[in-house]
Amino acid sequence: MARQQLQTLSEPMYYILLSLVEPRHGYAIMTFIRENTQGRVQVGAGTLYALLSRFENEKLIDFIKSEDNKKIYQLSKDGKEVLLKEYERIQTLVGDGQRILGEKP
Amino acid sequence: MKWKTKMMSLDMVFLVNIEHKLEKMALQGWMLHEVRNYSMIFRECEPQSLHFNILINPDNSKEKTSVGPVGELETLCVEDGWDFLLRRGMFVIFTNNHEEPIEIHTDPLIKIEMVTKQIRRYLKREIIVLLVFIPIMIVFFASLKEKYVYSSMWVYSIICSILLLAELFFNNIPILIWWSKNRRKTQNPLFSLSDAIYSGSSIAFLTFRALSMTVLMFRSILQPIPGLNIDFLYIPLILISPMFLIMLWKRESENKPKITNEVFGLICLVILVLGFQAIGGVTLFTGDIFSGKQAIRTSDLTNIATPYYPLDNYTEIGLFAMKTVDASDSFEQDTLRTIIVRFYSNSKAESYWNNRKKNVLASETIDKTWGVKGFYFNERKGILLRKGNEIIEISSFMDMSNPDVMQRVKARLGLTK
Repeated sequence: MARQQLQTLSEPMYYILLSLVEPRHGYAIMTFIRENTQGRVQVGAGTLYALLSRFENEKLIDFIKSEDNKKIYQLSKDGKEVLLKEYERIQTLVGDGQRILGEKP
Repeated sequence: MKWKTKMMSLDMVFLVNIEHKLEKMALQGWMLHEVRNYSMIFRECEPQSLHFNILINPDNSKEKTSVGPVGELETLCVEDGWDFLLRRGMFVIFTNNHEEPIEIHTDPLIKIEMVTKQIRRYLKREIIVLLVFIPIMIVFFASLKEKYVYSSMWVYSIICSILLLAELFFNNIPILIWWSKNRRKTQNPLFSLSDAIYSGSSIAFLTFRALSMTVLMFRSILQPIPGLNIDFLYIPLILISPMFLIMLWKRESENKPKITNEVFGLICLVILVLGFQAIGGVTLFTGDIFSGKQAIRTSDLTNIATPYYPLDNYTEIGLFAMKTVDASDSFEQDTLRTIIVRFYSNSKAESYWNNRKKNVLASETIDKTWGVKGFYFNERKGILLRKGNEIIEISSFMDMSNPDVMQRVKARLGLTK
């Protein structure tokens, strides 16, 4: 049931998974998201913590190690699949949009 | 430096925007310094524009001595620009002096989910609380047997019970209102169930406190376990925080308040109870009304030889004493004088019995020779028997250990086989 919820990701979820293509700790994830979205997507510490816990339970991310009291995570194989599926879904949405909106004068 | 105390409970965070109130206080020059059970202490400071955020993090609720962030979540908050202010149980308060800081929770649905999950961890304990206290409540109601006779003590008991029930209700208003507001926001049936259990256990726990105090007030007629002396229940009476006294207490002072709300309430309650004790009212701990200056003697009990005459006038001590003797009877027949006293409760009977028994030697008991619980007195010219709440005293000018006398008295008492 919980896994089904992650079939379609919200923006914060998508960007968190995207940031974990490389190993990162919590604050680095928040910084990555802000920089790559020019501040458009904001993820609070509490929201990030909750989502990281959920992803870890769903085995979409793996805990790599602890460094200076910071936990470092990385995307797992299942996580990559989910991320790619979402990326393709967004591409499909964009493609459909271009096709329809592009035809209008 | 000036200090200010405000009546605010962090439990109200589910109902009231406490963060907004704290921000307002900071703008007025009062900075949050300490959080207590039902109040917050503020110290004077320069007016400043601050954002407050109250994080619910039960994982670190036992970190009472920490003065900084503990664990991954709190560290993340600090790294994101929030300053750790203080912790109280599962609540952690952060501040931020940026104009538009990023909130700790940017997704409200995830926030509700996270808080619910955290609170659910305590459900097992809460369910146990419910399972323990519900049977106690059933026993309490089942033990109510007799009606009261109006007295000052009765009035005092009713007032205490009303206050306690009000405290019970007041404590649960934030939980109940938050539950009624939030349960409609989610389709997950477990969400409502967990909240119901959480609220129910809080209600059960507070009900138990209310009931234990009520039992003390009405203990003269409540005997769920015969012979049990429930005076020890005064301890929870004294230790319970009297919220209504604290609610009226709000002050500014030059010095930081040195006593906590609980100590203040405790002092008020002790004064109240000791006051009643001093005027001959409720007894405390081991004191009983059959010793000391106000001891009741047998002659006090039976001045009128009329069957089952209620002797309120002879058995109450002071204005607020509880009833002692329910009825008594005294008669003389065949050179035997018999006094039967029915006490209002087992504890009263026990108290009187123990007092009479003080100087009795082991050899003076009649358990083996008469087959009943009792003892001789007055050089064996009298015997004292006990049957539950009733104490029977039979006296004569003859030696009761004499077999003929013993046989006659036994026959009268129906003790012969």
